[in-house]
Amino acid sequence: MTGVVFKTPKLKTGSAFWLALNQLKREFRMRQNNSGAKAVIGRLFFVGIIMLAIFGAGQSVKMLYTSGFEPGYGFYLAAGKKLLGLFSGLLFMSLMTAFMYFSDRGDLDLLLSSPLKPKNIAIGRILVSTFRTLLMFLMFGAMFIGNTAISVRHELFTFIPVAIGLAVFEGGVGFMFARVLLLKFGLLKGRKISQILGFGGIAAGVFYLQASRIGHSSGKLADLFAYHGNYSTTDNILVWFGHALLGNWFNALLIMIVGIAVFAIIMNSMGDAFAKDVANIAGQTELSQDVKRKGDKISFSRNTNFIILRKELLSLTRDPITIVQMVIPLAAFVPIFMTLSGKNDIDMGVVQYVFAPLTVFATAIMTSTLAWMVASVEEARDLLKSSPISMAKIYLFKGLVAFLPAFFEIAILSVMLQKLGILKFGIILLFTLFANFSVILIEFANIKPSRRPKMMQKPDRAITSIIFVMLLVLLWAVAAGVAMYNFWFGLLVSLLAIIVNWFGINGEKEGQENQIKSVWEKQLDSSKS
Amino acid sequence: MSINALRVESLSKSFGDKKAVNSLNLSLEAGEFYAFLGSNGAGKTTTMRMISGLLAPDSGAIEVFGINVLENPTQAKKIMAWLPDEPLLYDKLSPIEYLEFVAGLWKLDGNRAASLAEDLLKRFELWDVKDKRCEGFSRGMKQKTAICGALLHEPKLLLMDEPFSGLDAAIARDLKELLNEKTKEGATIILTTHVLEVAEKLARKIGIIHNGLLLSQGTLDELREENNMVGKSLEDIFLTLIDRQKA
Repeated sequence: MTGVVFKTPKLKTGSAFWLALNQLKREFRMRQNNSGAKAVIGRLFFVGIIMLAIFGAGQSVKMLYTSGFEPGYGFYLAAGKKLLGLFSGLLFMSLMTAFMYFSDRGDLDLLLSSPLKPKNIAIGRILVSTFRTLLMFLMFGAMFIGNTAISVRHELFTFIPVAIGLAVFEGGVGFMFARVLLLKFGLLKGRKISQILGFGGIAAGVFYLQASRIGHSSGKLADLFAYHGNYSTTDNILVWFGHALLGNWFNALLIMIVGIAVFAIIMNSMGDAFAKDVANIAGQTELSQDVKRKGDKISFSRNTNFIILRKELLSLTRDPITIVQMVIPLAAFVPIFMTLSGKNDIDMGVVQYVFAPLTVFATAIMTSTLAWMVASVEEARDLLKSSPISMAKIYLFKGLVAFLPAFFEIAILSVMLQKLGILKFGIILLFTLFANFSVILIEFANIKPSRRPKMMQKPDRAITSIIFVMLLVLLWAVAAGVAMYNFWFGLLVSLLAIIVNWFGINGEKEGQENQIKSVWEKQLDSSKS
Repeated sequence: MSINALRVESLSKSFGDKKAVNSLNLSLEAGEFYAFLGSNGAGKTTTMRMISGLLAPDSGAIEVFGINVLENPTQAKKIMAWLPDEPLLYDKLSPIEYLEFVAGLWKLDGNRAASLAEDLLKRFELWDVKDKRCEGFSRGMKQKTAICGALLHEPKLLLMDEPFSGLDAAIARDLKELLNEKTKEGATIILTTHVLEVAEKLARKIGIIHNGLLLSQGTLDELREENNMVGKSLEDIFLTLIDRQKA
C-alpha cells in the first residue's frame, strides 16, 4: 500500500471548469515567488493597495451619493462613457490573452493526447483568459463605485454582473478573433499581431480613462451628477449602460445573460475545431521573419563596443515588453501633463509639485524594469562570463540601454514641461537622472537569474530589488517635489535616498549576483596591483 | 620544456555540505581529446565551469597553456571556449547577429570572423536560417548555433558539456569530424557525455568521476589494465567503477 491519496475534485474531472481551475491554480503558484514572512508581507501589501484603491479612489462618488440628491443623466452618461473606454481597451486585451492561452504549448500535447473533448480544453483555456479580463473589469468597477456600493447603496453592486457579462462576452469574441489571426497569419505572426493590437488597445484605453478622469474632477463630477437635462439620442445607449453599472439590475442581468450566451454560441461552434487549429500549427517549428540585412554576404563590425551595445539594444527593442513599458506610462501620464500644461489659467506654481514627482516616478519605474530585463534575464550568462570582456564594460552598456527609453520619455515630456522654465526643468531632469541611475544600481546589485517572462506573466524579480526600487523611487519622487519648493531641501531628501541606495547595493544574497560589488572589488584589486 | 594544454591540481569545490569536486588532478597535452564520464551530479560540469573561469574553486590550481586561470582569467578566456549543455542563445537575435556578438566579445577581426562564421553556418546547415531569429529554432538548431559560437574564435581549449544532445545523426557525425580536425590542428578538447560510445570512439583519454572524485583516467586500454578488466567494454568499466565506489 502506498500513502498516496488523490483528493476528490470539487468539479467534474475533465470538464472545462475543472481544467480552468487547475490552470488557475498552477498560475497562482507560479506567481508565488516568496514564502514565509515575505509572502505574508507581500499579500498584506497587496490587500492594502486594493483597499486603498477601493476606498480612496471611490470617495468622491460616495460623497455625491450621500449628498441626498439623485444622480442625473449626465452622471449615467459619464459612467457609460467610462465603461465604453474600458470595454474597448479590454476587448483588445482579451484578444491578446485568448491568443496566448489557446496557442500555449505548455501542456497542450498532454491534454490533446487525453480522451477529453477538444472543446472542453478550448473552453477551459479561454475561461482562464476571461478570468483575467473579469478581474480588470471588477478592479475598475470597485475603484469607481465599490466604496459607494459597500457603504451607501448596495444596489450599485450591479457592477458585478455587468463585469461578468462583459468579460465573458469579450472572452468569446477574443477567442473568435484570435482564431482568425492564427489561421490567417500562423503562430508567430498571429501572436505578434495580437500583441500589437492588445497593447495598443490597453494603451488607448488607459489614455482614454486618464483623459476622461481629468475632465471628471470632483467639481466636474458634481456638475454631471446634478445634470438632469436633455441628452442626445445617440447617447441613449451609453446612458443605458450607465444605468446598468449604477444600480439597474434588469440592465445588468441582461448584459450578463447576453454575454454568457455569446460566449456559449462561439465556443460551441468553434471549440471543437480547436484541436485541428492549434495542435497542427503548434506542433511545427515556425521560424520568425527575416532580420533585415543587406545582401547575402556576411560582414561583421570591427567595433567591439558597438557590437555589445547593439546586442543589448536588439534584445530589448525586439521584445514587446519593452514597448509596453514605454507606451503604457506615456499613455497614462501624457494626458495629465497635456491637460495641466495646456490650461493657461492653471497655476504653474502648484502644477510643478505634480510634474516633478510624476516624471521621476514614471521614468524610474520603467528603467528599473528594463534594468531587470537586461541584467537578470540575460539569456547567455555563461557566454558573457566565459568571454575575455570585462563585466564592467558589459554592465555599463546594459545600464545605458536600460536608461535609453527613459531618456526618450523625458524628451517627450520636456515639451510639456517647458512651461515651468529652464531652471525648474533642469532640476526635474537632475532628479530624474539620479533616480534612474539609482534603480539601475539596485537591479545590477540584486541579479536573480530568471527566464524571460511570457506575456502577462509576473516577472521573477528578487524581493530585495522590488522593495529597494519602490522605496527609492518614492524617495526620489519626494525629493524632486521638495526641490521644486527649495532645491537644498530636495538635496537633503536625496541624501536619505543615497543612504538607502548604499544599503541596497551592498548586500549579498544566496542565489543572486551582485555585479556592482564584484566590479567594484575587481577595480580595487587592479588598482592595488 | 613543453607546456601542458591543461594542468589542474588538487581542485576542490563544495556547495554547502556537499563536496562537488574533491582534490581533482588532471593534465592534458595539446591536441588531446578527453572525455569526462560520470553519472548525474558527479561533478563533471562543476569541474568544467571552474576550468573555464565561470566558477571559483575553493582550493587548487588551474593552468591553461601556462596561463593561471585563477590569477589571469581574461588571458585564459581568450584561448578557451565553453559550451554549456543547454544552448543558451539570445532569442531575439539571428544566428548571424549572435555570431557577430560573440566575435565582439572575443575582439576578433571583423573580416576573419565573418568568413569563419560563413564556413561554420554552412557546415552546420544553418545558412538558410542565418537571418531568422533564434526564438523559433528547435533544440538541435539552437545547439548548432551555440557550437558555431564556441568555435568562432578558434579556441585552443574547448570545453563542451553534452555537445551532441539534440543533434541529428548527420550533424552529429559532422561535429565529430570537425572536433577530430580541431585536435589534429592542435586544439585540446574536453567533453562530457552520457553516451559512452561517443567517448569510446572519439576520446584519446577518458576520465571517470563520481561524487566529486576522479576514480580512474587514461586511454581505454589503460583503464582496462588499471582496473583488471581486460577485454571489457567502456560501459562495463564505467558501471563497475561506479558500483565499487557506491559500495
